[in-house]
Amino acid sequence: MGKKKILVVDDEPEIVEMLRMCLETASYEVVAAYNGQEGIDKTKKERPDAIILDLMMPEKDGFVACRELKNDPECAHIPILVLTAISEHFAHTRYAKSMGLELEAEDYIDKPMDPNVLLERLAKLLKK
Amino acid sequence: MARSISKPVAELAHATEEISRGHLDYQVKIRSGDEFIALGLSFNKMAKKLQKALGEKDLINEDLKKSEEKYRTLFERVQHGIFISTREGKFIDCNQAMLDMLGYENKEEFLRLDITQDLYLNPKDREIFQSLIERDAFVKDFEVDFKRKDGEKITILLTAHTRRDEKGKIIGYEGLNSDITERRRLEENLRDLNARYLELLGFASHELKQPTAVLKGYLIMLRDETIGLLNTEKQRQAVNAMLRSVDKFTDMNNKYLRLSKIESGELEIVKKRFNLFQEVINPMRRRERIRLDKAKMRFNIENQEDFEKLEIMADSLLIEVVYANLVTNAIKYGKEGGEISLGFKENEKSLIFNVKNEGDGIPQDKLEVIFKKFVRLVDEKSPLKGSGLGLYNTKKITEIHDGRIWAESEEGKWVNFIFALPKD
Repeated sequence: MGKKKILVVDDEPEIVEMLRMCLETASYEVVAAYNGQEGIDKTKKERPDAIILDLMMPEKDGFVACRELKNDPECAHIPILVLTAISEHFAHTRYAKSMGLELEAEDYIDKPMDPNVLLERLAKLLKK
Repeated sequence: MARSISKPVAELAHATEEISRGHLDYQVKIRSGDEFIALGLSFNKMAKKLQKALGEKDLINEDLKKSEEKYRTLFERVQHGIFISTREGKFIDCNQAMLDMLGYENKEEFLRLDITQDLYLNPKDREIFQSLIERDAFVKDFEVDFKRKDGEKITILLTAHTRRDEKGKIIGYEGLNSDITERRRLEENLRDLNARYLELLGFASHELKQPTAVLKGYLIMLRDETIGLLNTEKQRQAVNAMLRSVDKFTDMNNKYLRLSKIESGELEIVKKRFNLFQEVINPMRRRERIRLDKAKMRFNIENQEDFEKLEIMADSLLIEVVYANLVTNAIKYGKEGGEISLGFKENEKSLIFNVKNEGDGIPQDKLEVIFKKFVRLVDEKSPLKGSGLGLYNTKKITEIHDGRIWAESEEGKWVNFIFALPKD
């Protein structure tokens, strides 16, 4: 069985590189995109097994990208793990509630995150 | 004999004439006839009394005149607009300040105004004012917008009471207008600044999460040796210390981020059970030691044994903010060499905490207003320090805990800030 392919979408290259090191060390193949639109394009082109998606990005933000991907029958099945710096209490704020209800991502993690936790949660998503 | 009678009679008649002309110092000259001498003396006495009484009346009149002038001067020179009006909405009189405030040069023109239509920016406000003043017989600090003659809006603080006729029927109002347009404008500016400050704080805290995420990610990989082995114990120590610092920084950053939401109403409390003394009081005592020593102050913990054991159900971060504000104030405004007491007691329903310091204290009439936004009592010792938000924030925080905060003070001696939280 080949390596699982993970698409990392984040406008901050340092984050992408850190995640690349973390994921490659854990034997994943990593593809990167640096904004929401590029994330959608790369999803269609690369057919990743899972997507790690930042929310606050230029061009097209993570909320919009997430919605578009989940509305696209070709991509809807790909699990999305949202990385958010929006708030430590992401799920509790009104902002997140209003936005998050529309956010059909499978899981989310707060920044800054523990790479071990990220790997665990990613593995769980891939098993489903 | 006839002569000896007629002369004194003529003299008395003359005297009466003189006095009736206002010559009160006129004295009767009678030298013959015992009865007439007695009559003359009585007459003179009466004349003197009359003179004295009338003199006093003049003095009183003089006093009245002076006093009236005094009040007239006060009326005209005072910086507040003073008015007397009818119930229907016409002015009967007003002072110069009132005319200046509203931009009228001609008093006659001003007195012809229809108060409701020409003066009130929103005529409905006069209805509200009238219903209040007719209910309570007075209105204090009623905030309302007036139109100046040039159409410009002006914000007024209106304090007035009712005027009544002999039967007690309300016939109008009289009172005082203070122009607070400038004050409101400054407050508006402060509010804007504060909102921008909080926005910036929130933005900065949010942005700082990105580099922190990078740091934390690599450090954990290093610690766990997933990206290669660490060769020495010192390397491990260094990596662990960096990780602890990153975590500490993350905590602080989250704190600022949460506080930046206090204004927008997005702040939600995250309650947990915690030991107040260990998590809040002790760290604060350590933090404030240097400032405390500088002011030669000391902490006094009341019933420390119980306090140390106390566990409360609250948002620890926010309670820490309350304590930090109160203690910072206590040090800032406390007496050099004085004591800052931290206490706690409980009753059936509440846990009651207090922070008390020795010092100048706070005037009774200011004890409530200090919890309002942007209020800072004028203080020569530390002019213009602080945001004027500290106590306002403590109030908001205690309120979202369903608690309350208030202050007590004996001027010149002490001030005590008390906050009560409901028991869970």
